[in-house]
Amino acid sequence: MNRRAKLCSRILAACFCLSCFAARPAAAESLADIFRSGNEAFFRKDFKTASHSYQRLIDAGIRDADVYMNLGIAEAQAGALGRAVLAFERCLTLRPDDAEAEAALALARATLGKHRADRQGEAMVETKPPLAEALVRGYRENTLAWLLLGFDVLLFACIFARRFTRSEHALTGLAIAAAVAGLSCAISGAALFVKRGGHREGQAAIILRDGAELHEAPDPRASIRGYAHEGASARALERDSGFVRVRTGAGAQGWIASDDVGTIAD
Amino acid sequence: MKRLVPSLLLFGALSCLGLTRAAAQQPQVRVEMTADRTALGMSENVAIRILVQAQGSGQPNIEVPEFEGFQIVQRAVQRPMQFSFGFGQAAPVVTSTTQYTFVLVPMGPGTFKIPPVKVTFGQRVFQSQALILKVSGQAAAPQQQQPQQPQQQQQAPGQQPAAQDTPAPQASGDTAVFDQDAFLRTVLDKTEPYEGEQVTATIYLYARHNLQQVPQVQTEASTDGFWVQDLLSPTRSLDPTRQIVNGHGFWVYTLRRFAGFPLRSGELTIGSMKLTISRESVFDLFEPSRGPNVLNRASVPVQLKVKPLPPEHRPAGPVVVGNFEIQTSLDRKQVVTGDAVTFTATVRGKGNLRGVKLADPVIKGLQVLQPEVRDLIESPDDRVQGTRSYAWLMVPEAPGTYTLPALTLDAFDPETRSYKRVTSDRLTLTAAGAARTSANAGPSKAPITDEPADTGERPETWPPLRTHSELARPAARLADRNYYPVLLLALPLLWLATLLLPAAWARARARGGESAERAALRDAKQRLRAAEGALVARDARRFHADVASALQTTLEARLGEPVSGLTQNQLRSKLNERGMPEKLSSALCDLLAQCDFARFSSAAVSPDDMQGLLSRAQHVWSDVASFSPAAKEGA
Repeated sequence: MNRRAKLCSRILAACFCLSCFAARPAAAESLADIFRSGNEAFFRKDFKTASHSYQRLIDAGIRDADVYMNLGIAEAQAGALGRAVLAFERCLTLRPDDAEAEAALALARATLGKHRADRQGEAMVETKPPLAEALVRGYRENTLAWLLLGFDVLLFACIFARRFTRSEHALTGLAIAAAVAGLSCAISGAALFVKRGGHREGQAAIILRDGAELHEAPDPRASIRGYAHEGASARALERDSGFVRVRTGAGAQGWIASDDVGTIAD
Repeated sequence: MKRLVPSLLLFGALSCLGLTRAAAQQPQVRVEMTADRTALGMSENVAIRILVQAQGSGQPNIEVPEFEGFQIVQRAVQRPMQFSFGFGQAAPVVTSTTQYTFVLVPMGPGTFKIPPVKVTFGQRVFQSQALILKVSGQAAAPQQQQPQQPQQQQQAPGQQPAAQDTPAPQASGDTAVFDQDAFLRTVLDKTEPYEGEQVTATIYLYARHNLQQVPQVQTEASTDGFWVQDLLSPTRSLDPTRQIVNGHGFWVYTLRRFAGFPLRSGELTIGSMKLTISRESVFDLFEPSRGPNVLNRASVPVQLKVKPLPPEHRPAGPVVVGNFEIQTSLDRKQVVTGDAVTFTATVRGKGNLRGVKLADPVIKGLQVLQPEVRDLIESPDDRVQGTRSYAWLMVPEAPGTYTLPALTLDAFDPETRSYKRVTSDRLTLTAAGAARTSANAGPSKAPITDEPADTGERPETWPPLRTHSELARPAARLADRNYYPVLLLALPLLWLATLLLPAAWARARARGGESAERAALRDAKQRLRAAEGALVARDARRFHADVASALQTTLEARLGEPVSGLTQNQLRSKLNERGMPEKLSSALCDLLAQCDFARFSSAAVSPDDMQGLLSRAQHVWSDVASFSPAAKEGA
């Protein structure tokens, strides 16, 4: 009798679970619904809820410049300017020609600098990336990759064509075309190299909390070497047990809690 | 005689000591009063020196006389004290000297007698001689209810002031209640101004004695109904001037001076100023009868009758009072549409500049922000003047040419008692470029894009939220795809292949020829070993055939051409052509000939001969194998 009762209860429990799972898809939100709810929360000035909605989209695998842009604006309005900087940087990675994102990023950094200057009397504001990165900032990585491939094909097409050409004029023309294509190939290759961060160690990252501690070792008890400013650029060099070894733009190096830093390449 | 001299000296010394002690017991006082001059003018001063020298224990009591008709402007006292001790004296002899120095300023002409100085020392009274001073010059006017109009002469406090006669006050805005010790006087430059016209008010403090402390203001003069601009620096020093009022010399301090602009017509009052003057000083000891040490004084309120602006020819709308002009400017004449340009209007002139108000220009297609107003107020000669600047940020919302209208200001000049319309020049602004979209509209956004590093006082204006998103998922980047490096390297590798393959082929071919030669040499060596076997087996035919074959194969491998069909002479000549040494070629040809002969001869060959031939064949073979022939003719 006991066995039968147990069996019946298990069957009932299984049915209940199945009914729950069956009912779940009916209540599930689509990605568009989440995006819309984030916008609605933003317009209600509920910036935290809006940020949460946009973050849900990103957690769901969405990598869209508009979502990052809205996330950045919501974070900025909520006062989390470091996270706003990170979101704007990610937006610009996906859409480098987004002037609004560029302006918002500059405004976020300027606001951070102003707040810091109000507290400390002075502050340095990061305005432009290094020259090499600034030169390629306006191009998408895929564009540079296609350019490199195209110039590569053009270069060797010219070289092969020279073998089957007898006319002196055609040979000269092909030589000039090959030289131009070779130079363009080298430039686009270098640009792609810089764009992918091959010239610098680690990954580009943003400090998310003002006064984030730079520890000597990946341990919260380790002595503190210094502090990083919110919204400052850094390079994430290594990860270990909840800490990231970073090198800040000022050259300071140390282990920072992984919650206090975010890499731009999400 | 020798004994008499010391006795006389001792007697003399004792006599001197006795006289000295007798003199010390009798108090001696010396009192003198002298003046550096006895006749002086009104603008001069006189120094009186009183010297009291007393010898003996105790302190003399000195009575300094009153200096009637004079004002003490400086005094000093010195009290050096001297102690003298002698052999056998019971008490020290004290010599005290007190010296007073007074600098006096005459308060009027005449002959003044300074009473003698009296010194009481012990039970005796000593006194100096009296002094008679003659002061020449004009006397001051008799005492009046109101003080005389001051004619100020700036002087440093330490300098001796010059007394002056001043005319009687004429303006009704000059009020004061005379007091012998101190009083306050309020002076207005006009009492019937127009509404908005500057009235300059000055409050003076007249004090008989030089102030030792800054007077403490209890109540400031009220200025209800005025817009007030201070004309004196708050950090100025309180420097007095000297003035004669009703025959008394006064120190005059300018306490307040301000420009008041009546804000309405009718009767307005500049209220009473109340203050406390402290007269305490270290010299109170010498003037015990000077009176109370603290004086409370208040100024007399002054009433003004403010006239309204004349209605004749008065323009409609607001009117400012003063003499003004307007200048306008643009920081750029041409701008990109959506970019901000600064339009500045500067009003310059005399009058209440803070009452100047310019209306915001309204131009269709130009967004005009609230202006930034800056004032630069000066008051040279106590007349308020300066500039008021309006700076408007204007943002053209569409391309085109905009005409900024002339700014106007209606002003009433109280000096000419006429109205005047002040007008600025018209300006033109050209905006070029595409019109701004509504998403980017807003004055604070355009500069953000242009000047992202500007950290000035700009409001935090974030871009508008994006209401549409493709919600794209990340696509693999081209450079991350596996085939990308293959595609990228395919053509370079193909090109390299076309460069390298022919060379490799030729090299392989070359390497193939070399291996055939090695195989031939290996085969020849095997044949020599086979010849050794034939020698053991005593098979002469096979032995000679193997030796001949080994030598011939080796020779063909080295020469790279067949030699089997050649006669002895032809072979010799070929070997000579290919550079083989004569000795080696002869030995080779001999061996080949001997082998041929033995192969086809029926005569038996002894094993020793075969052994000898094999030895020579091995020697020759090694020489031929290492032989490097010259190139063939025509190759």
